[in-house]
Amino acid sequence: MLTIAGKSFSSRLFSGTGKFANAEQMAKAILASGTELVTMAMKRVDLESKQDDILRPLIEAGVNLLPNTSGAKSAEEAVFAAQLARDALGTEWVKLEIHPDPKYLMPDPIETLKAAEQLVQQGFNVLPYVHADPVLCKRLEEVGCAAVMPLGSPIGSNQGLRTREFLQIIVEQARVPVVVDAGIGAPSDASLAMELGADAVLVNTAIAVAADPVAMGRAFKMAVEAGRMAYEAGLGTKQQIAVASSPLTAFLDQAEVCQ
Amino acid sequence: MTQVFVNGEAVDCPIGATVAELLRLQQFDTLGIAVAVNQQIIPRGQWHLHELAHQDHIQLFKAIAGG
Repeated sequence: MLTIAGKSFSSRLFSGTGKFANAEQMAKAILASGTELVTMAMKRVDLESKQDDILRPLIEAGVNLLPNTSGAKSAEEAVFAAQLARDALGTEWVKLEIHPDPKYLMPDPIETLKAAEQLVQQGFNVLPYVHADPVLCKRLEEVGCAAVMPLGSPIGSNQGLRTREFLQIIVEQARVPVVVDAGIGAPSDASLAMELGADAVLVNTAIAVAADPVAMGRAFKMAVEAGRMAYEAGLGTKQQIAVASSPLTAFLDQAEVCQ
Repeated sequence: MTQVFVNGEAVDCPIGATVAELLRLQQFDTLGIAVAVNQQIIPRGQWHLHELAHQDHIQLFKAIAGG
């Protein structure tokens, strides 16, 4: 069973709550996905517009909340966002994300490490969203992060695991759970991440923007379970040449003798 | 009455009103809300104690959907 910061999860699929058509659909898809940990963002209240209340359905669904620091462009802003989220949601858990670049939303490694250090000291369970950088992941682990969340490809891009080789190194070296986050566009991507040995995946866009998000949530649930099961079962090694699965040659040899 | 700013908007509130009273007067749903006064986070447990001063800048934040 997956354990992060002393909390056990029977599902290895974490989900985002963004981009769903409405709160009801989001709640249904989350339930279908079996996820037990969902991300949320913090935003300044817009006094003019009435926003869809998504917190109540999530509380009713009984899932754990993982607020993120999205929107933060520096360590200072991220720490402030984490403190707001802690007060708003009553959780010490935080997905630390700092991406100043609006085009590719690449996480800033220096600000992330700085913020992680401060947040750990303040008692947060920090799950940093980072590039698939094995050295940075080790550094984040050393400062006390509860897990690391390396990206597969840019947020919301559905490009899959473009960082596969580096994810493999991270998985091999990590002593904290590895949650592959961002870019997972299809259940097969999630399966692959789990087959590589990731401890969990975080999926948002691929479920939320599907024509049928509830069915897609279920598809991801099955893919994550299959990938994990395959990892635990032990995948066969790859070969450059064919290795026959059936004793074809022996059969042919015998036929020759009969003639 | 005194004047404070809520997310940049001028709002009248009774002299000596606390954060909790202002939220009640403005009929804010406080589920998933965090409050900062002049950039300083006021923890939920302090809302009923923290008195607002004239021209205070109150920032309200809310947990919303996100990835």
